[in-house]
Amino acid sequence: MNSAVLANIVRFIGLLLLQVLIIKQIELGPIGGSIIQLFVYPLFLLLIPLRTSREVQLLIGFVVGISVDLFYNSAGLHASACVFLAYVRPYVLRIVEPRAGYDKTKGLTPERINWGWFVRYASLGALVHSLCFHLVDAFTFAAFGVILLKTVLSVAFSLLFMFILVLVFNPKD
Amino acid sequence: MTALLRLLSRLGPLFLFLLLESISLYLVVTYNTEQGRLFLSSTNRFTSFINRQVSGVTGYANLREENQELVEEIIDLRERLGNAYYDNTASIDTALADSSALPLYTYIDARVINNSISRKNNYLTLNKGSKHGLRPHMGVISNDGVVGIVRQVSPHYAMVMSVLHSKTRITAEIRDKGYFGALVWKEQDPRFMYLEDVPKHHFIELGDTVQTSRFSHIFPEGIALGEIADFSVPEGGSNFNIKVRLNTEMGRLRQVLVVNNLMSEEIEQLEEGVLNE
Repeated sequence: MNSAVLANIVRFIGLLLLQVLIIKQIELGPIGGSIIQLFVYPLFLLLIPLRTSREVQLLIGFVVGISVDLFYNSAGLHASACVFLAYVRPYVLRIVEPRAGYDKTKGLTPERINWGWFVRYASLGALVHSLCFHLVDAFTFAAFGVILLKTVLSVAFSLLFMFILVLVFNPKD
Repeated sequence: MTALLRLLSRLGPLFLFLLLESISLYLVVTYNTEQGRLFLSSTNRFTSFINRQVSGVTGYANLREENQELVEEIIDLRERLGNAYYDNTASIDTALADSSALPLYTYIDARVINNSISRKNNYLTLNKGSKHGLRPHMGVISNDGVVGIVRQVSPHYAMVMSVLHSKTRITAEIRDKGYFGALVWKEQDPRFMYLEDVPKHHFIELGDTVQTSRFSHIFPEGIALGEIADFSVPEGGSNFNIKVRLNTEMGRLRQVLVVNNLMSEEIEQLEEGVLNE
């Protein structure tokens, strides 16, 4: 098992525990009484190495989503958003592709590329995930205003947490 | 497993995406519909262990607050005791007062070990189940109001449909005025619910207390739910649109009481009997 795989497994467990032990309490407590849903685990999907095959990415997305669902009592909800994010990630990467292109052997981190790029990449990724999540949760296109409001708030606050995490841990790959 | 992966890779990412997405959506539809089964994952051994640990820690963190609430509850209860009243009546028919009162509601205490407030349909998990006498359709209340209705029970856990659920309809009335309607959750804001079906010719005021109705046999009558925060009459409508600020902070629930109506079976049988005629 090489170090990148190990690092990703540790990251997965860390982010999952952070999400279900702490973030979930924050959602209910201090900012409780709000409609904001915080997601930090998409960061894991965003940081999956480029050389991973798309099928494996999709399977990982599904596993991540189902794991979170187990704790949120929300069968399939997080999973559908994660699978969707895993599927569109290559397109998101193409949209924000830097002029020099990507180095397949290096990580998709601000450390390896740059912060400006990462902010655009993470924002777009979080937006895709959150929009999919809230659409599936509502399971209708009616009340689209509410869905959009929830999405925008979730993305803004989730990104804040994700950026702090990346700043603190500063992952390379 | 490798053969399966190879097969999947030959069929392409799109196929795998559609497959995984359909599985996810199938789960969402199966477990999250009103009539469908609920996803009782928080009652399986592993996640319930984690949830219990978390609720243990947050329980400590909230001890001071909970203590305060308990003290207030004790004061409230003491004030309701017979000896807290000044006896203003000249004569009391003791025989009638004592023997005519049958217990109707009993309570079972429980802890919230899983909760959500920001989804469209929210549920709570309690740490008590059928072994402690919980059954589906029992009401759940907190010190400050109504929490929800038990939907499913396992031997040690129960799943409660929160009042913050798109299908919630709780019969409620305005205190001292008696106008009643259905309390529903519309705006996905966990602080507010709406009281519907109150005709616009009634007289209501901001700050009026909304309480559980005498027509409910899930909740005892007279539990304050919240106050009227705003009301209006929609154009062309014949009913008020009443916005109610909830007393309960749904996100902060720890300790709740499950309401057991000792005569619920009798009432249900009676009502069913009439409806089936």
